[in-house]
Amino acid sequence: MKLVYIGGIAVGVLALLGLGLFIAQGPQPEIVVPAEVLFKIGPLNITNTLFTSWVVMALLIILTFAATRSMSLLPTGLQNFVEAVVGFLVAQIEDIAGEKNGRKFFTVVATIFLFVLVSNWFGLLPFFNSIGKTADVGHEIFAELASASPARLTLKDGVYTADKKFAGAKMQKSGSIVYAKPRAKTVDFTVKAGETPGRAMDRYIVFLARNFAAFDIPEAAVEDPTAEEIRVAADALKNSSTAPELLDASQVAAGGEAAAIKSPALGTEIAGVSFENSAKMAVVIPFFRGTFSDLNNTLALGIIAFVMIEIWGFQAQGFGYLKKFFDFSNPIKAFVGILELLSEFIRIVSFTFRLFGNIFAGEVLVLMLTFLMPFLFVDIIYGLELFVGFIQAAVFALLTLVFASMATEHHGEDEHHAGHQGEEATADAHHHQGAAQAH
Amino acid sequence: MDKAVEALGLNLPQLIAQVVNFTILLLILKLTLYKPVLKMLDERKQKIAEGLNAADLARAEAAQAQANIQATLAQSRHEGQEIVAGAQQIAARIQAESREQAARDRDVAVERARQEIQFERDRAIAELRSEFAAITVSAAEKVIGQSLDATAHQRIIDEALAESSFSGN
Repeated sequence: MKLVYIGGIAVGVLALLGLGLFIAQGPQPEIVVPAEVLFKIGPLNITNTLFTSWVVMALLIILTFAATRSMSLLPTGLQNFVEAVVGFLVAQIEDIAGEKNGRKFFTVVATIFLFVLVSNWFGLLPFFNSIGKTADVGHEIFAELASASPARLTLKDGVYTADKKFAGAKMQKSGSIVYAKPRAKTVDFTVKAGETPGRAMDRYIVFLARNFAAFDIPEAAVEDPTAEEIRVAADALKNSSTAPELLDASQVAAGGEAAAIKSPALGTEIAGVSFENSAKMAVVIPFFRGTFSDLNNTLALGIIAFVMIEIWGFQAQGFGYLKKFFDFSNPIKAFVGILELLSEFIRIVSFTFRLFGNIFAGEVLVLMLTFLMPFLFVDIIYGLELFVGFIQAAVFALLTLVFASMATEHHGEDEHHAGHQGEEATADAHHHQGAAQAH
Repeated sequence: MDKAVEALGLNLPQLIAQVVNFTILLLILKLTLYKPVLKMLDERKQKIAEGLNAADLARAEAAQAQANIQATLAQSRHEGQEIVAGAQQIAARIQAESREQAARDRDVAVERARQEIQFERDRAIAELRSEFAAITVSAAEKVIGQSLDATAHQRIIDEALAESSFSGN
């Protein structure tokens, strides 16, 4: 009997996994570290992470507003909830920093915690990294190659100075809100460093022929095609009705947006690539992406934490605070001071990359698993990510709190030891002076 | 460095935007969350402390009142006992006094009776004596009138005595 159950469960799991692979397998995820730009306002790129952070802020504000709009001494519902959260935070913070400092640090630390936590958990919702607008990579590659001052490539003295990879899934449509079909094929084309635009264009022709016109050519040939292969590829593109079409200058309306580029192998000017009749090469730019899978956002938070810690340090100790960093009474102390100063700034980096690394890795993990095993296994990762989301929020807030407590502490103890050891008669006097100043 | 910054997607406008975002969020949350909730928490803490204090006070007052009642009860019980004891004392005294008085009265009465008896006796003796003298005189007259011998003499006296029906004590 027991065996039947186990067998049944095993079959169910396998069926679920198979079904997932069949109906829900996403396109191979294209992992990019920088956040994708949704649109621009002046110099500000509205990236999906920035957009998400606005949504999270709105959520927090609306929720707390609704909860505290009409407070009563006998709490109910939402008020109960926010009171529990705030009460918990206050208790924890005052526990670590003491009552007086706790209330001072509370606003910043609690906001960091809530913002990070809600962002992280909100980022686990299914519409993250999945629904978005598409960017037409196929056209973009041509525009980049043909342009004399490309936006994403670096062109210097007629050759590209850095590798640049363009990737996209093959889709039937692009340019509006679309979805990538399950198991959509992802293809990528790399512009290499040291390559002229013309050569890159030739390789692009072969790339298109191979991936969109079923032109039978080994993968390696795309990397370094012969002139013959390029000509055959161009012919293949021309002959296939479902392949992208290379347009010459006459086919592009006068004043066309893209500049033309001359193909060295074909000897013709190419003024454009038309994907009108073929599958598109495009990527989905998701509307939502975890706020803290973007270094800008974690760095901003890290800088805020750093600045607040320094401000509190100065508030508590005046310019005596700087003594921790610049103490030239003996070489060891001077060296330690330099280390302290360095570690102060390294904190920003560790703040930034700890949060970013955890959240970004989590998103990549979820994306990769939805691609490899859409059902079931992802759930385990979701559980893990819930945990990570909370831990990272707590770690960020707690570290800020602890560093702040350290910065506001008086450093009389070290001097006290020095005085006892009798190294310097002035040390003791100095200690008293410092203490008087501190109080 | 530039390449690294670009690869990581760092850019100043977004960084500034995020700092501003956080600041705005902090200020608004302070307004919509921290201030009211902390105020409420403090208020409730104070209310509860007050309540507990009041309860303590009430309990102390109740204990005080209870003690007062007990003390009053004890006192009144004590007083009652004192009153009863006093009354008993008084009763005993009255009893003793009356007993004394009675004894005195009785002694007086007895004395008076004895005096009366004495007086009566004295008077009776005096009367008897005067009567006896008269009888004796008459008897002597009779004796003198007749010839008297010793036997006749005695008879006459006996007769006289019998005639006077004197019964001495």
